[in-house]
Amino acid sequence: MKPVRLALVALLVSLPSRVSAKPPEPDVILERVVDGRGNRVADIAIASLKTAEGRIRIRLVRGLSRQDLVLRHEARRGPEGRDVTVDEIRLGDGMPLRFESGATGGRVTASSPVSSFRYFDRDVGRRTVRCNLARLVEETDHFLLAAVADYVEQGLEDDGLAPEETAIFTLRAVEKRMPSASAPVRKKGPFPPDLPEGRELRAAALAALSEAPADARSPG
Amino acid sequence: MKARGFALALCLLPLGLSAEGPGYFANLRDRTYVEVDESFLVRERAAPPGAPPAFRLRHLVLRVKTGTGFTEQRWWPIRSLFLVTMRADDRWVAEIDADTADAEHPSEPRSWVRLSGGKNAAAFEVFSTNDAAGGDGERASLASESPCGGTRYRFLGGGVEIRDVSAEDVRSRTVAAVLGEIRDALYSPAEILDLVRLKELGVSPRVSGPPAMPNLASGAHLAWNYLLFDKPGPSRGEPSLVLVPDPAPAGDLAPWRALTHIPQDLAPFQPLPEGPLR
Repeated sequence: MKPVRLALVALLVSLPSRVSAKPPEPDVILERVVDGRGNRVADIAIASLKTAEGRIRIRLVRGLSRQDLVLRHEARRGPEGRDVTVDEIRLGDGMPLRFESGATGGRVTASSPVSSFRYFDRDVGRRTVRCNLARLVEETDHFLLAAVADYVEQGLEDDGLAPEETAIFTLRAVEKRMPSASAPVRKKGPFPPDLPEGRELRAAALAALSEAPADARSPG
Repeated sequence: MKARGFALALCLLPLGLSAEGPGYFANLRDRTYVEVDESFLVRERAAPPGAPPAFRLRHLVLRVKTGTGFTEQRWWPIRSLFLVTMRADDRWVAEIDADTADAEHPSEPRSWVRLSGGKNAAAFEVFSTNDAAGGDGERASLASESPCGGTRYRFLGGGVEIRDVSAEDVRSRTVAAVLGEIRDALYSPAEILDLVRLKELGVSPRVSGPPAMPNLASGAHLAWNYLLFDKPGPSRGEPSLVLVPDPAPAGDLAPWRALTHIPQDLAPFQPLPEGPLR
């Protein structure tokens, strides 16, 4: 009788750790942005996942351009114990433009599949940084700047800058555009639950969330 | 094991040589003429009479005949070189080039400033684009704000590079950090002390160099000014170094060829009477 009771106690003690070993569930929020007449402008999926290693957020924008605009933000602890933040922006399945930074105020490394450039955040408005970022964009995806401009012009930015929008904030400084005469009317609301494309949008965001960052992927 | 090391060295050799880019002297390899060749002893102002010079300086101004030869002489590229010999026989070359010959291809990088010593060189190149779009008012103002328009610079050395630098950003934190990295990758602390000393050197354009190019000689200071921007500059009072003509024969340029890439045959430059502009 005694060994049976001992085994039961051991099982009860180990139960919480077994429960916590279950992989964390990602949070997904779906939104639809419409114009003043209620016509769809874009659908947005925001997926986030918090793990022991860090935090990942994905913002996937569908309908803005021909391919999904995917923003990825990852905050984690680097190999030397310092905090590392990696932001990526890409169109569809294309290669991303990547921004990696360490401590606040430190240098940011922007990398295309071809080359990289290091700069300080406070110099983003300078022509040297803007020109080098423009080159990296060309090396990554010619249509990326236009997608960023559309994102800003359509008023899709989060009310407070969301962490995954860092790449948008940086790249919109590259090309100064004529401001539009009047800001478009945009309304953001929850995605209609009865629409079947919501499932695809959710799946696309979860797929982007589960991808490894660009530096861990093999080229091509 | 030794053979493997030798093979590795052979593999790494081109990497080292290509650190400054293959094209710096690309436009400067044609027939070259000597316009100025003057030698100086550089002495400490406070040094007692008879004391050895702090270092020797030879100032060369070369003209490079480009292309078919139809280009007017006045547009031939100019190379102004300071050949500096330090006390320990260390050699430094600070060069500034003015290459205006190929105005049709301004976006091609042109050699501008080069600072070399030992086996290392920092090279600065310049290029420009004329993408200022037409238009008026706000549209024209935005065009002039084009991030890659106008004159831009490229700084490289020691495997470090920054390109597309606008002149107004040279003192920005982003550019200054890279210039500091180039300097630290190329030169030891002792060499940097030598460079700081050289930075004090003031060669008046009236002392050396043709009168038609008054700013060129002093332009050689650009290399030091960019790479040693965070070091104390020359004092505003009297310079601590003075130049006196060197009575000794200037000597062969052969020991300088590895640093300067000067062609073998150098003819004297004979200025032609200036014709009408073409």
